[in-house]
Amino acid sequence: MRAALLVVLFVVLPATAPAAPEKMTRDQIIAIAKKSVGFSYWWGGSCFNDQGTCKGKCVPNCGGCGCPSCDHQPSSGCSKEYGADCSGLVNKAWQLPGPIAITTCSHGPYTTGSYIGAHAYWSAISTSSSKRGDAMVYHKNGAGHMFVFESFAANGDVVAYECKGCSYGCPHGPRGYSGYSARRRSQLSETVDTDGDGVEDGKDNCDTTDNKTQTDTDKDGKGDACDTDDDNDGVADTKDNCDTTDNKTQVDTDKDGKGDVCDSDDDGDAVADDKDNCPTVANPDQADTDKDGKGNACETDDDGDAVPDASDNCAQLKNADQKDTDKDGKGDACDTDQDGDGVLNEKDNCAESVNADQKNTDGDAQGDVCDDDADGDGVPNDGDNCPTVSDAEVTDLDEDGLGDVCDPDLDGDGIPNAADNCPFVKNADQLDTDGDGRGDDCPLLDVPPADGDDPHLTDTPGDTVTPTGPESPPAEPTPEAGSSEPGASTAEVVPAAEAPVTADTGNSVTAAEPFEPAGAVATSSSSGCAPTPQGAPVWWTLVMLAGLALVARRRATSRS
Amino acid sequence: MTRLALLAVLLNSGGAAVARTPALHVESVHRLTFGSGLAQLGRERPSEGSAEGPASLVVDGSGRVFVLDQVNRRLLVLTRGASPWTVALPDRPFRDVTLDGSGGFWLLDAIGDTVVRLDAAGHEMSRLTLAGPLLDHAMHVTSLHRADDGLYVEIMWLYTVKIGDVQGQALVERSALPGRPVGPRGSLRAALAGRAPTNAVNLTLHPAGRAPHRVARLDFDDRVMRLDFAGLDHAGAWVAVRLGREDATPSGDFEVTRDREVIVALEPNGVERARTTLPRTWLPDDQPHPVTLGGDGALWALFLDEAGGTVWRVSR
Repeated sequence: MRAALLVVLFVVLPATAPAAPEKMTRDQIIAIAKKSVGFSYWWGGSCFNDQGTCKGKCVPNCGGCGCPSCDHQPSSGCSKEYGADCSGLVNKAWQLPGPIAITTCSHGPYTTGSYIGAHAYWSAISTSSSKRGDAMVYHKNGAGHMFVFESFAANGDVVAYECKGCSYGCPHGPRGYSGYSARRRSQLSETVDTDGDGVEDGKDNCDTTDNKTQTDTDKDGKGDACDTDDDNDGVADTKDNCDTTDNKTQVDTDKDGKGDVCDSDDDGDAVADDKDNCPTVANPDQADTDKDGKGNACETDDDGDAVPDASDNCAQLKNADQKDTDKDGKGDACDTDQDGDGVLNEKDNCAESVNADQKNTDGDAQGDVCDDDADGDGVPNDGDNCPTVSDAEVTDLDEDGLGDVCDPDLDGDGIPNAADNCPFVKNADQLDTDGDGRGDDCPLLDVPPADGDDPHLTDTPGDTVTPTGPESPPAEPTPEAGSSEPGASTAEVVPAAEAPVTADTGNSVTAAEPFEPAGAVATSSSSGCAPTPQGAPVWWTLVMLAGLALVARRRATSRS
Repeated sequence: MTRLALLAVLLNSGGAAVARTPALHVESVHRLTFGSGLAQLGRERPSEGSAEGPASLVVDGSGRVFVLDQVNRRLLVLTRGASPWTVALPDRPFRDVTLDGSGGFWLLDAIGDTVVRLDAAGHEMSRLTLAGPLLDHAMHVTSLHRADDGLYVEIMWLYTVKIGDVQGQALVERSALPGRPVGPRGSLRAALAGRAPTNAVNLTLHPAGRAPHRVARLDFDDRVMRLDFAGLDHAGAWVAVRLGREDATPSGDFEVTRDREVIVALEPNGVERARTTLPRTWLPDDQPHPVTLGGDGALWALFLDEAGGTVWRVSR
């Protein structure tokens, strides 16, 4: 009788059944289906409660014949029965033909025999395309079963919510679906949007937080709007100094509270990182000596000469050779006194050679120590027999290696010129028969011979000689310092003091004092040159010139 | 030597020790009709509920078949050439059975959140609760496995949780294995190669303390509707799948169709040794464990049709 009533219920559709069911989502279907788990199988029934209590009990009337040969009883102490059969569960989960509370015990009009056929409220789909919330159904000769599909199991079974039978009740778990067909509810909304941000749930990376942009910085599937660690760097956004950029280390060079990875000016030097030649070292001046784009403040080789700053003797000036003339640790390239002689390079006439005295014999731009032609006579020092006395002719009467202009013993007779009564003729005996102060062997020059002797050759006894020597020395020597006459050098002849008095005894000459120049004379002890006679009497000068002429003549003769 | 150890040894030897025999020996051992009689199988087809037949079977070393005939509330014991006999069971929705090694049985009642141990006469000896550590939902338990070191239950065909020791005592601390235990040192996991239905099955060995590696991938010429069994024995591995066609009756009453069960024997190195096909009828009955590896080293199956069931034995 009871079964007959239920059959009537199954087949009588409500007169007010709408053309289409209300929209539902898959989540809503599953949520209702879950409520059934653990309740009893109740043939013809369909109701549950949220508490999972009063689950009821199915009692078979016969062994092996199955429901509807069964009864349903309320649980002990419960006044109301709960439970469902398979189609009752699907009707409830799908809310067909219309919305109904889960606690309302109404099976609904549809059975497996209904679902196996076509209907506006559902459609047939392939089992392989089933998604959670769809249903699977079989029916044969008045018997059938159906369940709410949740997923496929690893072995090919399906995981289902079902009200299975009198012994099993309403379980949730894997089961076979051999012979079953799949159904999908109509008006199934695939697009629920809980937070109303225009992105449907399931696709929304924050279902319950409005985030239209769906920004998900760390691509973890959780939108930033609902992600407590947007960049997934392990530092919570509330404590992260770059909450949208992965920076586990939280490095903040300028301590401005903004991590370097998201700080446009890491070092806080007011120069933006993308323009800063040292982004993590404050260098407002952006100094970059070697112009390599890397500021000095963060470079190990500022000048780019391949010598690290730490060992570079000119860190700011390119000097790959590291030349340091004065070995003061400061490379020449950056040393204002390269040779360390106390004279700054810009004023030093030999910047790379020590010459504190700045001696410059020929007055050119280079000091003597670095001048290849110190006396400026056109003869390089190496070939100049008087490198510090201008003497383009390089004459050397006695051929002793010292040029005549700097040779203190021109004739090489061992008698210094100043004391020699005949400096151009070797006369070690200094024989001066007439005692006129000019040696007997000394040639006369521009002095007419009085006795027929060749006045150019010798001074024989009795010759008339107009002395021009010691008896009447000139007041000033010639030429004067600063003369621009050819062959005269400001360095080689300078105004002299009183010339020494030389006694001409005829047989011997004794210098009252050794001859030496007075004042600055361009001589060098190292040159080997003797001082040029200065302040000599006119006669001496004349003799000197005559001697030189004689030497020149002899050389010319010998060459020819 | 455990099965896993044997497998490893043979893997190392390239399986050369195994002689190739291309064919499998198939025999129909028992034929039973539906009903509640002594030599019958119970079947229930409620008008709005799941069709149910025998849920599982287990076979001992002598070839004795124990069918979980839960509709008739009994174990049906079948012996070749002898009359069947039964062991009465409590009124519970059991879904799987295994031997306890002492002449008794373990029975799975996932709905009742229990594993029950019965003696040979069907008297309850002890019970274990399923839900607990590593197992939140008892209803998700899919099978029972007794191994050398204890009792395991499988969850959703994915992994197993050891719930009892060799004496059947509940474990305070449980452990889990991927797939099913194949010895004290490892487990075997079998699964469809992709979302169902698919045409392939993967077998992956999980040696204890070592990285898992795929033992084999088996491809079939039709869709694998269900992976019925995968396991190791002393000579390699067995796999049983049901091949079928999707949506034979997309709309309209269910129609019985013929289908195929393919049994594959693998050598220890994972190379397929042979496969055979058994006839199978497509019924809507939920039969979770129609195939099992017998204690005699053969694969046993109980396939239903509209008139009853046939017990098959497949051996190398």
